[in-house]
Amino acid sequence: MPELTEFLAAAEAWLEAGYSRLATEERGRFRWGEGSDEVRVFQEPDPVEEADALPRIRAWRAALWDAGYAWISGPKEYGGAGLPKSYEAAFNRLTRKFEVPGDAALTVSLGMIAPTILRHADEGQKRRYLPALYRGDLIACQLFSEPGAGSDLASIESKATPDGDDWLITGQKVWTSGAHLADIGEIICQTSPGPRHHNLTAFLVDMHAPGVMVRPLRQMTGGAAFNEVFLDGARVPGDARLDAVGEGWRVALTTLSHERSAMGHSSFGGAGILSTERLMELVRHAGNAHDPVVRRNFGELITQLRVARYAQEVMAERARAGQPPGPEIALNKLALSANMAALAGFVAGVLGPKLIADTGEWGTYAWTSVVLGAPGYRLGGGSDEVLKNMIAERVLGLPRPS
Amino acid sequence: MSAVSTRPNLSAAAEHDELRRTVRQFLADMPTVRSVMEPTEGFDRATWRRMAEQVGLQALLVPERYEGLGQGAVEANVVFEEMGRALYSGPYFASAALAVYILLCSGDEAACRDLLPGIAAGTTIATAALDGSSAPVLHGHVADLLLVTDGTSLFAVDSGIQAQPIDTLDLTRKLATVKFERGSARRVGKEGDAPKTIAAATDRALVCLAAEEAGGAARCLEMSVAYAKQREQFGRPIGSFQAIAHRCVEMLQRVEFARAAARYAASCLDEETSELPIAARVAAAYCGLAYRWVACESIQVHGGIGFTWEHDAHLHYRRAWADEALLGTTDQHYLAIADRLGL
Repeated sequence: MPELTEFLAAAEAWLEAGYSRLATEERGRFRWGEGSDEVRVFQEPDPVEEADALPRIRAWRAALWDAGYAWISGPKEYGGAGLPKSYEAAFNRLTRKFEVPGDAALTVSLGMIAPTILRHADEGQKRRYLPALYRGDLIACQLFSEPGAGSDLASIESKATPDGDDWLITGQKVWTSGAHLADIGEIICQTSPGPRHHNLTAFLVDMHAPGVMVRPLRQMTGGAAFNEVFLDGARVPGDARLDAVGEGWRVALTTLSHERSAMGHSSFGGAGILSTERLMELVRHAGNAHDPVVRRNFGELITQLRVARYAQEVMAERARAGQPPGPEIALNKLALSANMAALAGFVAGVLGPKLIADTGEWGTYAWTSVVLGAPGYRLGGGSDEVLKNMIAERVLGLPRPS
Repeated sequence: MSAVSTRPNLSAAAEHDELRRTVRQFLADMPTVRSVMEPTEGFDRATWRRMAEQVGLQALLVPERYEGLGQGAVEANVVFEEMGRALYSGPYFASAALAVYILLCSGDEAACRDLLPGIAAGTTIATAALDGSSAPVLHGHVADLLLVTDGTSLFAVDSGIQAQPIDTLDLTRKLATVKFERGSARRVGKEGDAPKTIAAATDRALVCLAAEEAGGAARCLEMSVAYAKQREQFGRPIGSFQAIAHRCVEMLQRVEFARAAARYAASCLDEETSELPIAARVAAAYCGLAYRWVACESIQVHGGIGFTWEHDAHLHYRRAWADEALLGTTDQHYLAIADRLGL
């Protein structure tokens, strides 16, 4: 194994050769009035820009793959580099110094579906899907929620019926991020009438197959970060079934635990919407930096945001020491949704009338997307209430509601 | 102080677990806080002596060159969490944290050499009066050494202290009015240095107080969860009702985040990272409010029994409200954060 410093020096040389280095002041530094004032809390890219960006993202992943940086902590037999997670984290930090495509479009693919495949797939599936996902040849989405199965996810009604060696899937999925970009989808279907939790099976469905239709879902922000997916007899070969028949619930839980951890970790820090510098500039430009009420509220908001970060760092340190996070990781998601709401409230107090009508002034009306997006954070990744049920039961050991 | 901007080391060491076990056991063996809170002194002298002789806790933060153990804020974080859980009523915070930090931050080598060994040995009980002459002083009635300020300089007073304990909201941490009669005083630190010294020492003491609050909140949560599992109404444990279960989860959230905030600030203190001035006040603000909220909700989970004199819930509730007024209110911490970030 190379020393970390050696590894990073080689990585930096590789990045240097193919990508331009960002000037120091462009990195993570927020400057009022420059560039886009977008402060979206959901990925709602313009469809045309998004389509244009996709080939660049795929090319970046392919280049990473060829150089051995696409899956630094992954097992070698599936194309990983077999190095510690700390190397991966260090490499990711390093890439922020260079102008490389962002890979937010791959969050579900690599943050949720790939770990699920690694845990539940058979040998052949791992070799088929994992390199393709990390190389960016395949993009994956998660097909779980249904119109009739939200918090009660186990009541999924989409059905997979055997047809020779294949399966035919019929049903409707909803709130699917990135379905319009995805090549495959991890889908949970009913494969028998019961019993509950044992009647479900997971598959990897080809999103381009006949019988699969994707429609954007416009949410209350006005943008469309999600989709509805309709399946009408979509054919899935038998070797695209994930884990055993009847094991779908367990597979789903694996994906959900990765989702919660990914959500809790999205800090939107740096120059993002939770950046201290951005918030201070907002207060200064709104002209109320001397208002004691605003200063107090600012201190309160910063307290909430910093404590959430400190708690994440303490949990991450425990994980590094070999105590992987249990269900308490969902506390981070509860904090995030509370902080989004607190941020919206703070900004509303600072901007007053500038928040409700677009005067064209930079960095003011743009905050409406945080106001409008915040309620979604309480729902996404398991509603706050469902997560509280889970924490009550699994962390505090309180009896289930009867 | 050299401020370096790095992430603090947050790793848990086996020695910390050992320290926690030792302190928890020691505090479990002492007379109950109820048996000592009523008499005038408000704490048990024998426990205080044993704490010094057997465990050496009073020496924890005192550097070795002043006959202390030379431990850091991370170790203090462990000890204070335990003190908070047990509602320890002796002058530990005042003497072993606040007074020690003031003396250390004063940079007065001679005063440290003369005064810290006694504090470390537990033979000197020290406290500080930083809020002008009329404000009540933590454990003033049992103090052998009082650190006072005239707003410009710091002084150590060790004789002629006339102190009178007064009624306090917090029954487990006494306050006293203090007057001086022909006492002898020595200046500590340079003339005019008091505001700087007090500011630095207050940040450090707040990190200890935050840990104590996190520990108290953790205890309230424990009591509440245990009660919610055992108490039955409508034919089932009340913890099976979402109204109770969700409240307990919200308590857990605050407890976990409070512990993390206090620990993070302690690591910043030990490593003198540039985040310290923010982290100290963030921990103070968050832990103070979290403790008050958790103690308050704990009474509700306990229902009627939680509102009785006999139940410990009110002792935490009282402590939490009092803590929030001890070294700055939550709102003052918020304002300090805005100032320090340069808003």
